[in-house]
Amino acid sequence: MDINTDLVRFVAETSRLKLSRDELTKFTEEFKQVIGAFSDISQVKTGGVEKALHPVKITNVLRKDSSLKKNGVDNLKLTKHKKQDYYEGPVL
Amino acid sequence: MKEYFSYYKEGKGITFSFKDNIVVKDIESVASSKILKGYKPVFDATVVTKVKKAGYDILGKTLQDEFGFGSFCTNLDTSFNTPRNPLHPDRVTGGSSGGAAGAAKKIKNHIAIAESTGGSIANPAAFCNVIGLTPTYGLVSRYGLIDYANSLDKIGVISSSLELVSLGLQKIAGYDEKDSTSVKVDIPDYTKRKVIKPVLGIPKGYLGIVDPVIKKDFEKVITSLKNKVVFKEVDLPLNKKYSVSTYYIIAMAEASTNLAKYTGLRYGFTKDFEKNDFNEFSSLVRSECFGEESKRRIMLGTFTRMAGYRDQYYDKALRVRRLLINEYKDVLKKVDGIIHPTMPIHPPKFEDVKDLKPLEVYNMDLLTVGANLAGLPHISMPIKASLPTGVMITTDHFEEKKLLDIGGLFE
Amino acid sequence: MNKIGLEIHASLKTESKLFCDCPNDKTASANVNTCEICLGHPGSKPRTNEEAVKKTILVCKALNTDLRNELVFSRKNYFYPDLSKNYQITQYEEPLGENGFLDADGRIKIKRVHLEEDPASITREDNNILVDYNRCGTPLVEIVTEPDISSAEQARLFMKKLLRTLKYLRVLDKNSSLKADVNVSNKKNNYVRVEVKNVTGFKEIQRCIEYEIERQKKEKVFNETRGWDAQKGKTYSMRKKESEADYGYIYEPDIPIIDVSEYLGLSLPVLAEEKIKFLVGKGINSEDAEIIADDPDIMSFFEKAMTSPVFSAKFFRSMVLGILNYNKISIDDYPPGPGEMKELLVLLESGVINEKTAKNILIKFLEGGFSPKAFVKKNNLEMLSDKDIDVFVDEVLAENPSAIEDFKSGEEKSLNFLVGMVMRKSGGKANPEQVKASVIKKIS
Repeated sequence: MDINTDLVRFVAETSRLKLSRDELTKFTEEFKQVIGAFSDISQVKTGGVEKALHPVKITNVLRKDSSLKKNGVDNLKLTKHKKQDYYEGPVL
Repeated sequence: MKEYFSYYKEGKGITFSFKDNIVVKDIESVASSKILKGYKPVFDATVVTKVKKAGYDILGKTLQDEFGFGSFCTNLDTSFNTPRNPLHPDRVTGGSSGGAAGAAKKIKNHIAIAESTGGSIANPAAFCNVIGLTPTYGLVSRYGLIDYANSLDKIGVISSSLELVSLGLQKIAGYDEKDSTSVKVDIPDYTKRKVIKPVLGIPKGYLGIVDPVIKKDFEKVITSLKNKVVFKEVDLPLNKKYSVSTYYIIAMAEASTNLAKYTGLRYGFTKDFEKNDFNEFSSLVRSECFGEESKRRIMLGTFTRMAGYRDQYYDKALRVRRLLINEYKDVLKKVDGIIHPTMPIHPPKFEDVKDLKPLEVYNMDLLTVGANLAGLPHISMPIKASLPTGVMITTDHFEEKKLLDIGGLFE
Repeated sequence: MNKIGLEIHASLKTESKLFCDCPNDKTASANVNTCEICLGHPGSKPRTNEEAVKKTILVCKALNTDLRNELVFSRKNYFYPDLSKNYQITQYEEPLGENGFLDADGRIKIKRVHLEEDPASITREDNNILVDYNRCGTPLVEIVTEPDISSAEQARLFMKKLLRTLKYLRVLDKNSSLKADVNVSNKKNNYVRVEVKNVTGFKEIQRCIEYEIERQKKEKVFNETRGWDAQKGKTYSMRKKESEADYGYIYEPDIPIIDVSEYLGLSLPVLAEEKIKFLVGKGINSEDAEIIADDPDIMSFFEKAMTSPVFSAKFFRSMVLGILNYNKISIDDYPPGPGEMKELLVLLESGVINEKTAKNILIKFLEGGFSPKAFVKKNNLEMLSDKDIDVFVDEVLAENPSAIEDFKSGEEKSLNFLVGMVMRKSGGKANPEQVKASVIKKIS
């Protein structure tokens, strides 16, 4: 597979990370090594094998539909980016 | 001993502490990351609620690698000090729960609540010569645990004696409706010990990949226990070959989505918007705050789940995971537990870890990731050796009590 | 020839949000209904609402889909401030329902039906945005059709039928409008596909489809995403599509796969089609039946209040629905119960009161329910009997001999004069038709 700086730059942008030129070079080299090593799982035959999303069987997890009165406005104390009772964000 | 904490206060009697990624209401909980700087949670993690209710004093929050990303506890935001090995200050504590292991070693009657995703309890426990128990996935509620990889994260215990470890587990185990992956099982009395003569399997080839000194010390212990334990050879060929890749693919894919929420808006680190739009602002904050290993794992994780690669990496890893779990379960039908050294190396010196390549570091997890990937309970017990060394024992799902009984033979 | 496909989002009516116990109430003031879970605070975890799952299963059943017995959630990852976690918990590879259909002037295939969380609402200001997370995490059902719709009229029929079905299932949050992403293409342009994103409201979706069909007849069409400007009634280009957006889906690791087989046996309520058949079977014309059965609340009220079907249907359609529409209220907000309405219908149908009195009572009902029978009696509003009318007629004829003469000599107007005199004497409580008949009978 072709891992190059374009691919790593694209991945970084998708992840909302800005990389310096040095970082980009370094990460690209590491990507080649790490992804190269990870690719070994392609050798495992998995035809008909179910995915394991969790290691143990878990059941009965639906919540009854009842609500509690909230005063969620209190959570605004965790940020300075607020206006009246709204969270403020940068323009889109 | 304060060097193991990001927040500390005095306490009396048997005391508890929590790894920094376990949130405590109104106490800064940042998982050693700059991006959460100043974040004071509005709620307690379920394990914190349980310990508070039981009336124990809480000493504080212990240092860790950023979000659990590390094997040495050297990957913290620069505003924190890096904890040193309590027995050899020129060496690392191990990670990611390094602060917890250091505190457990240094503080009398202390129960450090830690967390393991791929070995973050066993590893520092072995490096600090204390006991580390990672329970079955789903036995202890993860509600309030700052996620690394949700299908792998397990809250557990590090302490200096089996008595304290079992007491700690007793206090935190049990079903919690707030965590949908919590499992409903009966909780036995973990603190009562029984003398048993277990059959323990040593996986073929595992001793070939460890430091020769560790191999020798491990074999000495095995010989000394010949009358109390039946040892036999078992085989985990798939785990030996594929558990590291499988583990890291799943862990990084999940981690990269968990860390997306940190954009400097509603909690934690922030700055002025200035002229930046949402994307620009998010990128600035994330690039400034995340440490190098976090960036690496976010990007690798994003890659493994991207269209065009997802089938080959993320989806494939989920299927391989099934085979790896089955392999463990099959072996555990024949033996009571699986035993091998916890780490392939002794705690390294600080200068020796600086220049390690990421892949070299990931490969050091080989002995611990299998049990973690399979959600199997495991314990690291310190053994007699010139440098801190542990043996790791793994039992079947929800067999913590048996695991503790086996641990008793090594204490 | 057009190909139109719809992706419709409908808000589900539940007590609490999809993954936390905050009230599902979008009318509350900003950010009141929020907690650590819907705000995505680190360490918080989702807990799935049983009722939302049940309601989605009902929608699947009504749309004739295959049903999965497992509920599987995924994370759809993209950075946007209306998502508190920068991913949306939704369903991806394994939706609850697949391969269904709804008949609307031909069969419209339903590709999938799934459950997901709604994002927050954003208000744009000049230098920033304001975010209200009350809506964030509330349950949405997404319904995706195949591009089987061929005209704006068929789209209207489909939407009407779908909306009616959702109403009958009683799954809709009445404080939210339907939203849709609309795909339109036509043969002339080799079916190059245009997607119009996020059109809000039944009527707007309708207008948007009509506009886009016309636009594509005239303009060159690109594979692109467009927006809908409701004020101008036009779509506008947002971005050309180079490739499909990559959402990097993974399974939601905080929620295990949920076995929903115990809910698959949920039975559907009687739906509109059956109700229409029932009304038509009672002799009501299909147009009236469609209108009355369009809303399950009106239908259920009507069934309880109905006297003779044809008479009741006519009265409902022309009078009762008129009052509701004029005052912009739903039948739930209209005070009288079906028992009181039935009493009114009996009074009118048996001729005890006239239509004018009935209408006045319907208006008076807006202030509160009461017994029409007692009201009519108390206010002396009963119509006069034939006998009473005859007495007045005799009096008027005796008093106006010249008018009788005029009528007999062919003066039609004098008949109207005589009827008017009788009506005046009766205080308006006589039936003018009856009066007229009586006068003619007596003087010819």
